[in-house]
Amino acid sequence: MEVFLSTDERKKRAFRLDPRTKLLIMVMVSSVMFEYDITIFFFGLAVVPLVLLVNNQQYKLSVIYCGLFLLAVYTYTLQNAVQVNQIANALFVLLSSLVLRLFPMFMMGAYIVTSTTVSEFVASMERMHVSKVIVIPLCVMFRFLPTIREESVSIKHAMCIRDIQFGTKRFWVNPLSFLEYRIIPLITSVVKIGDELSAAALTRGLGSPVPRTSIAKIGFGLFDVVFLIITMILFIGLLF
Amino acid sequence: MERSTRINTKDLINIGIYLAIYFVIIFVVGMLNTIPILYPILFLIWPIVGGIPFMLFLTKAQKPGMVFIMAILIGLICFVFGYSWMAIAACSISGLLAEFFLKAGDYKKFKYIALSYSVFSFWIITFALPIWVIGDTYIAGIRQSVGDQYADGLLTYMPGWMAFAGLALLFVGGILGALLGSKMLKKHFIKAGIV
Repeated sequence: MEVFLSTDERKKRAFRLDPRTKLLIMVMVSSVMFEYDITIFFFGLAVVPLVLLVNNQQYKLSVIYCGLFLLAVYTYTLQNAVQVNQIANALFVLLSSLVLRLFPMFMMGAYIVTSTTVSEFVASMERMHVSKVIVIPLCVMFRFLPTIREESVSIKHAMCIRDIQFGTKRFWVNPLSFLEYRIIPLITSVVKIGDELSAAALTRGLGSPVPRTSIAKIGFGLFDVVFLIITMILFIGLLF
Repeated sequence: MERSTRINTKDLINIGIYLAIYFVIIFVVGMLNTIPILYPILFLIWPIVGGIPFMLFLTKAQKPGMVFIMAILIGLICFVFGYSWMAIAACSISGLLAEFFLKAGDYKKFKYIALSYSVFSFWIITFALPIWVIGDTYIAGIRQSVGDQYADGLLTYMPGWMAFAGLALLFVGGILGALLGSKMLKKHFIKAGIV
């Protein structure tokens, strides 16, 4: 079974961070994105996910991120200088708010999801004494996000054959049926996959009362310290 | 038959699955909010669409605490996404209220289930809470970050009384969503053998 959070040990990475470090960086990056001032610190914080992505060899994603971010900065400098109509303004808002505010966060999320293995995540959460009640649903949820996207794409293709897609005549006749044709099959298939997954996880002893052991190596290293200090400085710099 | 009331691992996995579906749906619908005039209407749309996965979730969540755990997790995720402590507060309160109504209806009576879902939907107010709680600074921030036009639009469509109107909309949307959800349950999911 393919597991999300790929376990690619073969991938050559320059360094590897502890999951707890990643989470802490995530919290700092995301909370700062609502500070609204664009300064050098802001750029610094936006660069942190970029470095991590490159380290994780997600080159395509990092190029897209870089390009969109620069474009958004350009839109931001234009804003309020020109008055545009409602629709164009909506586009502007979409670009500058979505990309500028949310993309660093999303990229951080993408990095965390692809670079952390499930066992690493669970092991570090257990080290932090987080309750099972929180950890298991979160693991399952992150495991399911890629599945939902896959299923959704295949359902979309299947529905295209029947001329059910956004914007066709049949859509405008009854928009609610669109909802029904897209969401219901999605939920059905995801729930079925979920049942299989839970059976598999339970036979492997996820629900057993004995304390869990793990072969995942977690622990703080030199790069954790370096990244934490850099992010912390940028974070504090942006706050004051 | 006596129902077991302890939450086991299977329930936790179920929470995760439905959390993923629910969140994806909420997120996709939320893309509409870049147009300020749609913002108030969203409070109606969100609970209606979310009703479908949630009603299905409630057929599995027949133990005390499961809805509350889901609400707490939603709060945590919103917190990480930058909605501050208000997210956790709003989510845990609405989760607790939803648990209360579910318990009152013994997890079976549809009237209470619909009420419970409407109350649960109140967590969505999280997305707009900063506008009223830290009002001026938030608007100033919006003004600076996404421009005067959007901020003015937001102010026009989201005055202070919208907080109550928003809750009312969420409540109505919740009832409608519960109706839609249970209709879908009967029409599709029971036939497909999922429930």
